[in-house]
Amino acid sequence: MRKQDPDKAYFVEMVYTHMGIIYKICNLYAAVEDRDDLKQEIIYQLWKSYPTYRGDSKFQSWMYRVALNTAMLGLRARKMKYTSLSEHALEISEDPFEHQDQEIRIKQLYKQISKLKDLDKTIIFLYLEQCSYDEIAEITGISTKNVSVRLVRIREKLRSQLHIQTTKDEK
Amino acid sequence: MKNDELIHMWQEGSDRMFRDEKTDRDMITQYLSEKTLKGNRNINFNLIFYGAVQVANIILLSMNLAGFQNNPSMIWVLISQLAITIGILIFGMDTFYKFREINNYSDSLQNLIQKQLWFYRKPYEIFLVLASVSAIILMTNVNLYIDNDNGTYVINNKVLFVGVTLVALVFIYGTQKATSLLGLRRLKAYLADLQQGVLDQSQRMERSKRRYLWLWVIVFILLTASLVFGLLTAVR
Repeated sequence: MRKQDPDKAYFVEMVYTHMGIIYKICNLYAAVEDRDDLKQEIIYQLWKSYPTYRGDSKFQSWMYRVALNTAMLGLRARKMKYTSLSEHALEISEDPFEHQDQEIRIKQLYKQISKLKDLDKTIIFLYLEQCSYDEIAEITGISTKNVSVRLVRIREKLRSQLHIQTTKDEK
Repeated sequence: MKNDELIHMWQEGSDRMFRDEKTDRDMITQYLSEKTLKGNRNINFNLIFYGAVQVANIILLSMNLAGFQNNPSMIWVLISQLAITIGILIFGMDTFYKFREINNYSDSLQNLIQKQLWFYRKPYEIFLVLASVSAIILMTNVNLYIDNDNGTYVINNKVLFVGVTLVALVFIYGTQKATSLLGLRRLKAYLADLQQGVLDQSQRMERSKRRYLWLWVIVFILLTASLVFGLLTAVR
């Protein structure tokens, strides 16, 4: 049996640990039928870009950047075909006896996010993933101030659509 | 930030949505190979195909150089074509390399969009023109090879020859452009949209530039009108 390259083994382990990032991005950016292709494309692009990962940023931040760029630019460039999430239903398992209200609200949250423009979608996605403003700015290439201004607007929009009241400490 | 209800909803939703997802380490290892990708490689194919056309052109030109070795004017025509073909081959290889470069997604989104837009607007557009020229060179050299009459080639109607060649060039370029437009137009529009979203600052700069452009156009029209008026007055 061939011994696996230690770098490759480390990479596979890291991707496996953070696989949730890839699932979420695939769900936000690709139509149901394209999700598997996008998942493969992201993993392949991560591996291709891995030599440029210098370890000065968190593996997770680097992974967000490559995965989001692949979803936004790579999918379009390769397939010239792109379906927004708003065009298809979200699949969250329905449980009629448990958390029904919450489940509907979660579905609505995903639906409203999917309706946003790609850049706003990316910004709110990274915010919801609890990335700092600096990290969001670094990944998208826009200024931290711009990130904060946009986030206020996006969160307001989502809150009003989901009928969530803004608490004082969030303001 | 942590008190945000949106974050709680998102995390809870994600936990439920992906609890049944299964991707093991072996599957990840398998995805590291390009062979697993199903994506379309239109541009890659175009670049590789035209690389092959250049190689065919070089072979045909070499054969024609041997066939027309006693015809000095033809030798110069063929040497010029060979130089152009080698130039196109080098440019195509450079474009192919740049295409691989712009698909390195570890850069920031802003830089990537700028690189991609630049690629599709500059090197790829030039490549399409050069590809059409190489198709004409191929066509011409096939004719030269077939109609080589002991080292001479006679053009009976020069005007018609030039006309047909130009029409063929425009037609080949038009076909290429139309094919690439179908796919690339949407991508360019999307990239431009994204760029506008990312670069609010530059958008404002563009707007002010446009305002200044209008100012220059108005000044130009006024100056031209005064020049025409001056000339008319002088003639009278």
